[in-house]
Amino acid sequence: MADVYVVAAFCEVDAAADGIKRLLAADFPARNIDVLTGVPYPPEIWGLPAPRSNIRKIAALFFVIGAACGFTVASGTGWLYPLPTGAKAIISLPAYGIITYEFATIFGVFAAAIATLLEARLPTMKNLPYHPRVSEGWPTVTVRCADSQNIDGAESLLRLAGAQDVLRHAV
Amino acid sequence: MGMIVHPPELYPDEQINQDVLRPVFVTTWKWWILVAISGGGFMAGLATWFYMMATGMWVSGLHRPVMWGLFISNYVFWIGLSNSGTVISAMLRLSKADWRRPITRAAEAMTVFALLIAAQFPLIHLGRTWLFYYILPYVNQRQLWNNFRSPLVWDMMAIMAYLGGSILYLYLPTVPDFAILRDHAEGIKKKMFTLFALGWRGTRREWTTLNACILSLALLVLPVAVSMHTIVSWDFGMTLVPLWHTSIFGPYFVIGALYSGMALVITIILILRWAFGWQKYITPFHLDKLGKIMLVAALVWFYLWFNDYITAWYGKLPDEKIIFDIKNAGPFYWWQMTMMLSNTMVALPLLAFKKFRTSPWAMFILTIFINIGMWIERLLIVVPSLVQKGPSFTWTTYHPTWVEWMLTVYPLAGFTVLYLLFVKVAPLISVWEIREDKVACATKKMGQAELRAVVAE
Repeated sequence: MADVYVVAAFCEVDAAADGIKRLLAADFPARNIDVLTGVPYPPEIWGLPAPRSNIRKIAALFFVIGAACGFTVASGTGWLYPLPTGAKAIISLPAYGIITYEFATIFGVFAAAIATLLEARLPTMKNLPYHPRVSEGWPTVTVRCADSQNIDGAESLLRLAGAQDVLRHAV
Repeated sequence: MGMIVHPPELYPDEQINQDVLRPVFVTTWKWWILVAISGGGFMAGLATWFYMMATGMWVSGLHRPVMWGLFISNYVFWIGLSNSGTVISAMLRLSKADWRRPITRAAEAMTVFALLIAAQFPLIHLGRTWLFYYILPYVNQRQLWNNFRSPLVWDMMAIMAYLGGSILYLYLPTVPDFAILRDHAEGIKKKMFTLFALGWRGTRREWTTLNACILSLALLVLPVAVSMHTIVSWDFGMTLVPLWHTSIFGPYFVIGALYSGMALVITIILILRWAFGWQKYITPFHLDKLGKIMLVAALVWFYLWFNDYITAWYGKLPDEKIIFDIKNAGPFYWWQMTMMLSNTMVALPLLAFKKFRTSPWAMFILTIFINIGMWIERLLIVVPSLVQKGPSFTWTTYHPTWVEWMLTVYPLAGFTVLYLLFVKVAPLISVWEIREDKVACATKKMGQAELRAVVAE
């Protein structure tokens, strides 16, 4: 059987959080539960393990790599193809510091953007569970279920918690 | 006057969608008229540029020794405007200022479009625009190796870094709004927004990642903005031209950029407020906050200007005195007076009053005058130092021709066209951030008052 997601749209945040609490109490694994929202709510309100992000570390790492590349490009060009001008040394540290900094930033910015896409698993063309009410501000709980008994159980728990609309989504 | 509140918690999500997304989906005749007028100005400017390329630079008023005239003044002015949008947005995000939310998108878009416009001026100024690739850092067979010790190369690197950073800083926070647009659009627009939304669903992982990314970008882009305009000032400061070769130019340019950019942000948000009926999102509260920042920028700008002025006045170095005199008593006297009137004598006392800062019409008129003053300031930096530079037999005057005036209208028209087109592609108020405001801030009754309670991020 293909994986089926139960997708439940709530009009209240508290009700959605209650739905997740009921699912966890009924031994649905936390890794199979997610919440889709139109707003970045504080992660702790759902009672699920908070996702972690390494973007700052990645951006910092590429900032350093960019700095090394910038200095190498500037000093390497000056060293390989000397261009005596302006009574400045061929390897002029103050001037090359500027190039180093700009390279570092370019690397850091693009690394942060690419890491964001990779971490968020975007872009995606997969048919993933979604409810159009998310864009109207309705928090939507999704649960991945392996068998039909689970599906019925999840659906009834979410309805009990106050879900306004429940869909089944096969992947 | 009653307490000015910051009120989006009063509006349900559906209404926020309806109010903010309407300009994307509904096109009025006024929009078409504005596109026609600004598009006409843009095309006329483009035709003038091609005319100058075909006939040569002699059709402009540039001649020895005034080889930097209106083109470079416009370049500095538009770079300055671009400097400010991302800086304001990044500063407010990093300081977690909750009131930033209705303003950031419009400011970020302003940066990208002003930068795209500004970056054309070095190309216009080249004359032989088709040889633009000479300024790019690439290894070629003619042994024209890049001189990384030249401020012009630093400038190009800084613009590339800032443009790349600003485009990402505008696009990535817009992705959740593209998802909202995708859910509301039909036909070709739905396909377009589906593409832009990248499959965004609003999972916890997506939000965590996006927030980390926005903060990282803000942290990276903010110093680049400062470096970019500082490097533009070094295009002047690294030369030995009188009144250009000064160490104060870096901070003076940066604060001037912040001042004029802040004025343009206010002008733009007020136009959006009136055009789309966004009075309940962009309130006098926001004008007051922005007005206070602009007041600080105005004070610091005047302080640095006066530092520059008094050093030259007291020193009386012969070369500098000649330029100083033509600025302050000669042919540029009235330009100087107009600048001081707009930027300091009128702006400073008016901005000190809350009643003035919270009046949309008053702020709209003032911000336009400030930007006229700041454009004159750029002109006064570039031109006077060149007209009487060096031996007296080379002294001259500078009269811009119609070509330069057309190419001064061109960036304004181009900027307007880009902004008008952007209105049709993305909401100029960030929908998810306005909703986040509702989550982050609620009212709490305390004693006899309803006060705003803020959830710390």
